[in-house]
Formats: sequence, structure tokens, C-alpha cells
Amino acid sequence: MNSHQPVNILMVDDQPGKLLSYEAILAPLGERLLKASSGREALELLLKTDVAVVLMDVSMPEIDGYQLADMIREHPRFQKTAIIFISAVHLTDVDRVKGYARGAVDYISVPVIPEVLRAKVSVFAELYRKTLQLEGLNRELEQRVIDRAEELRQSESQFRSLANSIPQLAWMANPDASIFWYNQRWYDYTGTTLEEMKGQAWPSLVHPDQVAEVVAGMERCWTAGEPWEDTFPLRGKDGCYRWFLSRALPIHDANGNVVRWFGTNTDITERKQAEEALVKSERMAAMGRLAGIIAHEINNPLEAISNAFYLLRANSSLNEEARRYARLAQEELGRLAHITKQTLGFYRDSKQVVPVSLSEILDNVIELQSRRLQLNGIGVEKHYRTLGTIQGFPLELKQVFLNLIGNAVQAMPEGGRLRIRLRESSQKGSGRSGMSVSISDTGVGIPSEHAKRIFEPFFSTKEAKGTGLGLWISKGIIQKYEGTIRFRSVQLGGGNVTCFSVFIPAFATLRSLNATAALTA
Amino acid sequence: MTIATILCVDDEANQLVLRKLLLENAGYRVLTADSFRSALSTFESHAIDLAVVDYWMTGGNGVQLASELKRHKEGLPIVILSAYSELPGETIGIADAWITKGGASQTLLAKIEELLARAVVRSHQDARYVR
Repeated sequence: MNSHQPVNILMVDDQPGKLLSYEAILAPLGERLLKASSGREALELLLKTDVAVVLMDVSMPEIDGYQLADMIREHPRFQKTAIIFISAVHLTDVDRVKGYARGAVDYISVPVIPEVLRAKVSVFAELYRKTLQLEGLNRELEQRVIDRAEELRQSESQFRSLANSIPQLAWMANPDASIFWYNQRWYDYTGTTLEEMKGQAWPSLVHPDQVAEVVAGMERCWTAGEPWEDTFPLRGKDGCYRWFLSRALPIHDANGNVVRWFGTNTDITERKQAEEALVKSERMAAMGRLAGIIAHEINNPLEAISNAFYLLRANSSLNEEARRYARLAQEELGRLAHITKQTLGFYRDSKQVVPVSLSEILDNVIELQSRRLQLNGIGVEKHYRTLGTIQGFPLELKQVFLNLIGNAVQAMPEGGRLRIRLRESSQKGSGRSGMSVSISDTGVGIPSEHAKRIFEPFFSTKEAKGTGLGLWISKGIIQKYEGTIRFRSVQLGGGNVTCFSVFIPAFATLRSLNATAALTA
Repeated sequence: MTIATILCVDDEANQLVLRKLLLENAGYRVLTADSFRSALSTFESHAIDLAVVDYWMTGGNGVQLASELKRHKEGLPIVILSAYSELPGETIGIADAWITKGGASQTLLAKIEELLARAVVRSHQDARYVR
């Protein structure tokens, strides 16, 4: 409000002459002068307009000055309005106190001294103007507060919809690290509610192996007010853990104090798996190269020694005992050659994966075993529902089934039934399509105490006959195809049924296959 | 009756000597060479019925030597020996047999016998290959 804006001054007197003289006295103040010749007229004017100062004669007919003041004061709008009484009679202090009690602010005695009247009215007009200005400022401030609150509400809601639209889990915490808000994705992933998660409940979702380390790391950063970053698995609502890269940033106020923390958790499971697969395939490739070199270095002298003992055995100048030694040495060399081939015979039968028919491979392996199948009196049942074509390396796949079928045959020295099934199926969990092969026998069975160990290297029940590497190597090959190999052995109708099931995806990750030298015996 | 002549090529002396003895013990005539170059000159100056070549030699690998020998004498049976269990694609169509070292000595002898017998069948009017 402009500081020189005129305010209303209401003059009340039943004598027009007096009103005129007040008007003349107050005119130089430059305010708006309103005149009322009675209490009633004054009230009507007051209801219509705001008045800074009421100047009134105490003695008026109908409603006198005091009564009028009482009526004015009743109205809430005028409780603070300045009232100046003009009194012709001599005012005692008692009268004045009475007037003040009614809310009068000042008195002027007759004869009115123009300068005094002007000065007093001027002071109250100015006071009123200042009050108005303050009220205006106040209203403006209030409006600004309302506007700002609305802006904040809008920006908060914008922030929340933004935070809900990002692919990360997000949250906010107080400076004491207690979390008070999570985005929708947090709830969607964890299956929790704000009630369950409020405060510091989140570590219950961190993998138990890492929770202590994670909490300690976070506390260090939060105490120091420094950004936090860590990588750990968080449990989803399905009970499975996924890896998250978690970050939190402190939000500071103008004075540099931390007012809240804003945090995100980014799902990096797939990235991590890809990295691990790469490391694994690189490691496998390195192992393959190393095994190749070692095999080369062993096989070369091995050949020479084998030939030497062969010649010794055939040497007629040696006596029978010496030749027997040579034969024993030759036999042991045979074992050495066999184990070298089993463990170090990493080979790649072709440089690129090719379409491989599992039914063809199975038939081929059965053909190789046909003599033993016949000798042991084993009946073979084949149930192929597909040709079983996958992408891979034929020789190493043949190795797997040679191991599994060979084991089944060896488990049935007294005869039995070998049943081989091949069908299309999908992998549990990943849902990838591929081929499922099951090989079951009615042989000696696998005792439960061996169940945990049969895929371990050098575990064998065949004593001198086996190297204990067949299943271990087979598992390695199938894992390279990102497939699975499992078995069950149960007692059924007085006998045992043992079944090995292999799942191989139709299209394994080509990188993992091509980068890796295959393990075969 | 002609004794078959076998050329053995390897750059490792001990292995070469023992292989020569093994084959001689089996009744063959054996010539040896310890390098790519000497193998070629021996081959040019002698009538060779079969070659046993090491895959990995300094100065050129066995496959290169084998293809060179085949160029000189088409139909020459060639056995490639390797300490690696890996079968390089380039050997297909060049070597007649591929044997991984370290196995039983009989494997090599049996394979040589088989290849020579096959060569006899191929040139049935000539009965040279008898040991």
C-alpha cells in the first residue's frame, strides 16, 4: 500500500457548523473526510466503509458519543478503530477513565485548538495507515506461504511420480538413517509394506552372509555424511535374492546440515551373471589351454617310454623275469595314459557349434555298448519323441552319454532293463526350451550315502575299474551348455531303479560354448 | 617279398629312436629324419611306402610336411602323431590316420599294418608291400 494513500476520517456532530469547522481544520491532512450528523448516520457510514479515525461529539441527541462508541466497539471490525471524543464540558479524570474503558483513544476539550486536533487525527490516521500496510504485508506473506506450500506439494508429488517411474528401487531416510519413504518398486519387488519397512527394517532383506558388512559400511558413511555405495543381494517377495547396486546421497540444507538421505537400489543381477559367466568361460578356456600343454608334455615322453617297454618285453635276450617286469611297467603306463586322457584330454572336435542330433548320438552309444548289453543280458527300451537336435559339439556330448549309459550297463551285471527317453522340454526356472534325456537302469542302485558325492572328481564305486571322473566330467560338459544333470535312485518292487536326467538348452549361449574348450575323456 | 619302408619324422631324438626300434622290431625298414628339410631330402632319395610324422615340429608342422609328401607321391599312406588330443581341421583329407601319443604301442603298429594292407589292395598287381 502506498504510504500517502488517504484514509477515511469520520466526523460526527449534530451541529453542521462544527462539522464544517472540523473539516476546515483537518483538510490540510489530505485525508478523506466523511461527515455524519447523528450517531445513526455515523453507524450507516461505518458499515459501508473502513474508517481510520472517528471524531465525535460526546453530547448528541438520540445517541450520545459514549453510546455510539459502545455500539461501534461491538462490531469486530471496529474494535481497534481510533475514537476521539470532543467534549464541551469539563472532563474529570473519572470521565476520561470511563471513556478509555469504552475504547476511546483520546479526548479533546472545547474550545478545540486546531493544531491539537489536526496533530491528534494525523497521528491516528498515520497509525491506521501503517496498520493497513502491515496487514497487507501479512496477507501477502500468507499468500506466499500458501503458494509455496502448493508448489512444494506439487514438486513432492512430481518427485514421487518420478521416483516411481525409474527402474530402480528408491527410498528416503531421515538424518538418523531411519527410512520414511520407499517408492512403489520397492514394495513391488520386496512384497513389503511401509509399516513393515519403516525405520531400519530393511537389513532384514539383505542376504544374511553380507548383512553385517553392509550395515557397518552404511553406518560409516552416514556418520561421516558421505555418499554410500555397496553391492549386495536383496530378497524379493518370491524369496529369491537378486544383486543390487545400492547408493545413497545426503541432501543438505543451506547451512550444510544433512536433512535427509536419498537412496536407490539398481538390479545388477544380469550384469553380474554375465560377468561371472565371462570369468568362468575365460577360466575354462585357460584351463583348456593349460591342460593341452600339460597333456602334450606328458604324452610325448609317455609314448617313448611305452615303446621302450614294448621293446623290452619283446627282447628275447632278457629272461622271463625281466620281461615280466617290463610287462608290469607297461600295464601301469596304460593306467597313466588313461588318466592323462581322462583329465587332460580337453579337446574341441570342431571350432564352431554345429547342429547335433541327440537321438543319433544315443543310438551310436548304444551301438558301442551292444556287446556288453548282450553279454549282461540287458534289454534296451528307446522312447524318442524327437530327433533331439541342439547346437553343440558332437564328441563331447557323446562322451556324456557314453559315461551315463556305460555306468548304467555296469550297474546291471546280472541283467536288467535300460530305458532311454528323449523328448523336448523346458528348463525349470529359466523356462528355456531344450532337450531332456533320461537314462534309467534296474541295476544295483546308488546308496543314499553316495548320493551327494557322485559328481565329485575321483569318486568311484567301481574300485580299480573306474577313474571316478566320468560323472564329474559329464557334469562339467552339461554345465557348459547351461544345462542340468540330476539323478534319482529308488527302491521299487524289491529292486532298484536309478535314473539320470539331462537337460540341454536348444541354444546355449554361443559365447560360453565357443570360448570354452570342452572336457572330454 | 619286399619289406615295406617307413619314413619316421620327429624332432625329438629319443622318441624318434624308440619309434624306429619299435617299427624295426615289427619287421619294417625304417628311415628317420629329424626335420622338415631332411625329411623331404630323404623322401626324394628313397622309395618310401608309408610315413609316420610328428604333428608338432620346429620348422614346420607335420600337416604341412604330409601335404608336401602327398604332392610328391599321391596315395602315400601317412600317419600323423600328436601329443595333443586335439584334431586340427586341416588334417582332414591329408593324414590317413591320426594317433594320439601316449597310448599303447600296438595302436600304431596295428594302424600301419592296416594302411599298408589297404595300399596293397589299391595296387593289386604290385605285391611289394609284404613284410
